[in-house]
Amino acid sequence: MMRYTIKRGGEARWVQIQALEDGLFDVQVEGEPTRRVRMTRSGGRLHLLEGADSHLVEISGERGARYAAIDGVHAALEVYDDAALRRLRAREGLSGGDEIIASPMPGRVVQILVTEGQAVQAGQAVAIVEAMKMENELRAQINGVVQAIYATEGMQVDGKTPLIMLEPTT
Amino acid sequence: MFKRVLVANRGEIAVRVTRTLIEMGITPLAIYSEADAHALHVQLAAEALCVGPEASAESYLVGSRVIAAALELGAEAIHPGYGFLSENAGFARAVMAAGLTWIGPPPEAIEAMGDKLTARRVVEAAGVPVVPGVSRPMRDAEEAAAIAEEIGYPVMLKASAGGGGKGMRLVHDKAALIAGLAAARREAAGAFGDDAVYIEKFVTEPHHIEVQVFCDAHGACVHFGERECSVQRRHQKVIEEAPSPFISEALRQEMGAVAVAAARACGYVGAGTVEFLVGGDQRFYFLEMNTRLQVEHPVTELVYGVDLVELQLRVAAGAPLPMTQAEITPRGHAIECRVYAEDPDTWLPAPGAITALRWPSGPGVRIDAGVQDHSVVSAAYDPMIAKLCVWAADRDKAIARARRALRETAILGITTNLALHRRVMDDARFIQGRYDTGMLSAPLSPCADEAEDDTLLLIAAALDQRARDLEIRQRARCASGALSPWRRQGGAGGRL
Repeated sequence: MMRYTIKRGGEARWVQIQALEDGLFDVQVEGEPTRRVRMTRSGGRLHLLEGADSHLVEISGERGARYAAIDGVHAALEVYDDAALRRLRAREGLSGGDEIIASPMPGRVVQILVTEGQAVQAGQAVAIVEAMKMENELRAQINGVVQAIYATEGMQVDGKTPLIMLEPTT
Repeated sequence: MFKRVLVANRGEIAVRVTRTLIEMGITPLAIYSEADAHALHVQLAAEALCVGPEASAESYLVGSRVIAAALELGAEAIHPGYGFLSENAGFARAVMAAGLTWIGPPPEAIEAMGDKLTARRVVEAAGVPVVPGVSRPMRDAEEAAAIAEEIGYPVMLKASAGGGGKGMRLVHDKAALIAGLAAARREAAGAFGDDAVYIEKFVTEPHHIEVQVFCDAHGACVHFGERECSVQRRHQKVIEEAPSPFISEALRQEMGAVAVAAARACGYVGAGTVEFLVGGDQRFYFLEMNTRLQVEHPVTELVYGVDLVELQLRVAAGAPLPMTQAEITPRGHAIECRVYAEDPDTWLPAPGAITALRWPSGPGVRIDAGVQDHSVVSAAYDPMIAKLCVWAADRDKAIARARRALRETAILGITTNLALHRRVMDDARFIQGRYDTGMLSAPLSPCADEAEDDTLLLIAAALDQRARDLEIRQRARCASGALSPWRRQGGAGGRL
């Protein structure tokens, strides 16, 4: 029996695998009944057969950033075994997420719409970043007060570069 | 016919033009930026030259470098594709001054239609209906607000030099107008180097329908019917189809004739597209004319059985159009899904490296892609990486085929809008052909099998990880030799 926890966006679910015979598995996804699946694998391609339902899956990337597609549905996933999950939980305890507003993609900072000390509401636009010739508004995810601004207008930024830090208010 | 032609573009359109050149026995020549050295359009070309660094303003947009490359490569003609220098009259003139053939309309026609305000005046004079509005740049927010009051909200702000949805804003009141004007100006200045913005009345239940026209240098001008382009996000097209499920046959004929009149009004030669706004009442208004090959030209090619790039080359070489209007008849139905490297929920661009790629194939499927496995999608260029097109005998079959083709598609490593396309193909409004440009203003419902596919993805990822973990353990064991089959069989070492 092996168990993996798979994160997709903010949601994490475990998947438990029991190998039966070569290529045949009983698989249970958290909160769902167990299903019997036949799997063959070659390079980055998986073939899943469940009864008469046949699916081709493309899969690539590293454990922390795995990409998969099935029947045109795509997802970016993080895959953890139990040990890796314990390490992740320990790390996440140290820093939260929503108080940092980061550029979601590489681009240029067009405008910072807030100043230090300013109160902002969840959903309020705080900065404009231009990427691929389009302007995109970045919004606060939480209510808070602007604690620090790391970016300047005209600055080129990479994806995930922190631009603004908020102090959460309740 | 030309022997050597330079394609002055990149991405899927450079690939698409190059393919026709190869089919016609013409030597395809390419240009590329430093970032595109290994791009598909370069690999397909016979010869290619680098024209500068990644930023298009320093490479693909530098006309003098493009022309120098054409001369060095011994090209006789330049095909500009769409975007970049394709609608730049100064560049067209420079190409001709260098003794090369410009595969596009006369510079005067580009100028007349390139500025939206001039275009309005030119076609209005030819009797083409236009949207109520003010055809001059707004001086300031006060003037804009006064005009908006007069023609009535909602109004549309548009960049005079615009295209592709940049510098465009729909506003419903004065406050939004003032904010929108500043943003539209900034976007227009950044994208086109010109911040002139004008105002038009916003037509309700609007459809964006365009007519493909084609004129030769001998006075013949025909149209290849319409393309329905109403599935848009941020005023940019996402899905196009031909024919439009919305207009009647009588309206089709009328719009075709008006489009030909608009083309004639500016002395057009070559492939062009006349864009119309069609209201819920089936009244139509001229929007703009695109003086180049359009992104969505494949749906017309599929339905009319023509190669528009081949026609462009023949007409540029001086040949007359090989067909009359009476000989141009549509057959079946075609749909194009534009694959953007962007988040389908937020529309945010999502550049990155493609780690795996599988395109659909089989009957009636056409893929025009500028990327391949391991391509890097750069933030410096347009996020459209491919067009997935299908053709079938009728609209219902075309939708079923699109659904099937989308299910066969996998693009890993970057986020794309493929999920959005799947949802549109399952949306009742789209299936019934009753949608307008507001179709994507609210999130679409997930497809019936989406939740099940999401679960299967988790199962696949876990099974894949288990297999990888076992492989790693196996290798570790082999490396340590602890479980070497030779040792188990009792030998002191391997012996063959």
